[in-house]
Amino acid sequence: MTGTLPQLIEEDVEEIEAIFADFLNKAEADSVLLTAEGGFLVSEHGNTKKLDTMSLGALASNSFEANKAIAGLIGEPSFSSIYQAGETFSMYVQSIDGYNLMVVIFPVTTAVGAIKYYAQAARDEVAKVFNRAKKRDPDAGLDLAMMNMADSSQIFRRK
Amino acid sequence: MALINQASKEIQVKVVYYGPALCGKTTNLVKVHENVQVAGDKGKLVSLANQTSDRTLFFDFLPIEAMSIKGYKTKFQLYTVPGQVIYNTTRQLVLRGVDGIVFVADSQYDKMSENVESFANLEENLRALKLNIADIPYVLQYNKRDLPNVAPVDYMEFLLNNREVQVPSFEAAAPKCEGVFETLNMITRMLLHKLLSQTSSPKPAAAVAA
Repeated sequence: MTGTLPQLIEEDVEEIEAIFADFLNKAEADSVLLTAEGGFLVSEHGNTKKLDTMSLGALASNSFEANKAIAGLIGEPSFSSIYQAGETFSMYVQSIDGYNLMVVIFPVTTAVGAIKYYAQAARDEVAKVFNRAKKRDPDAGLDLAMMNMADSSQIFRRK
Repeated sequence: MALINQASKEIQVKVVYYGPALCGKTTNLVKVHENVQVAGDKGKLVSLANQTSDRTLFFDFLPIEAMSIKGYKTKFQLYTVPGQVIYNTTRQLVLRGVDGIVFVADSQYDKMSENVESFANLEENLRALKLNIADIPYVLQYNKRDLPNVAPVDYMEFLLNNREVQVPSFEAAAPKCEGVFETLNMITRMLLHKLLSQTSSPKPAAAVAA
């Protein structure tokens, strides 16, 4: 069983927190989401309280994948990032390692050049954390035996 | 590829509703959204559809949180694909990272060839993603059973569920919400059991893609 997101221990999670806090501060961005392949939200940082981060992560991830398909149609191996300009906020999505993405929301008053510059540095730092985690224990499993599945027939209940 | 986050005690799973055009995939999600009991905030149903004809262009997306199981929040991401034949690239994109599939078939007699074609297309698209239908939990839903010109269930089973291992199938009339929750509960049950069987050794992980 090979995952696209490596197992992260608490130390990794704390390091990713610190990397994105530093990124938000330097780039003057509003928030950043870390998403995994398939549109899953891994973590969120910055001003995310008013955001529907789960939908945002999924939509940004699918949008990025659609752009990769477009890249293929015009003979590009891949687009490594996408930028959407808004009237108040803009979005910049960048691949970290081909599977995981960082989705940056920033005010239009912040220059996109600064976002790109600092995002690349943050991407490299997060990629280092992922690489270290992969080397540590690439095939480890996870014990979910404590989950009692005896009553799983009604996971979703109708009103 | 499910995401298990042990730090936040969350499991995220992706389920894709697949099937021919106008078979009722979007209606399934609409009815789940309208009728599901949730403890907290209900996720928004996002439809990327054609503004004039209301046909799905990219996908519908419904994030939904199920009951906690032994302290683990189980979050499901429900997607539909566009059924129209021309949108095959989009269907492949939506299938990326899929954990479980609900194949929605149209029970009307004259739709049988479209059902079979769509199922073959599903298998083909999974192969393109280096996945095998036999390795992915899936269920069949025979929708539109409330219409007059429907094929017998046995015939649909022969056409769509005639493999070495037969999967659970459900009769449904999605606009009336009949069979919708039965189908969803079965695929989630199969998915969680699969996750349990795959994840057996205790580790101090914070997050892992299963």
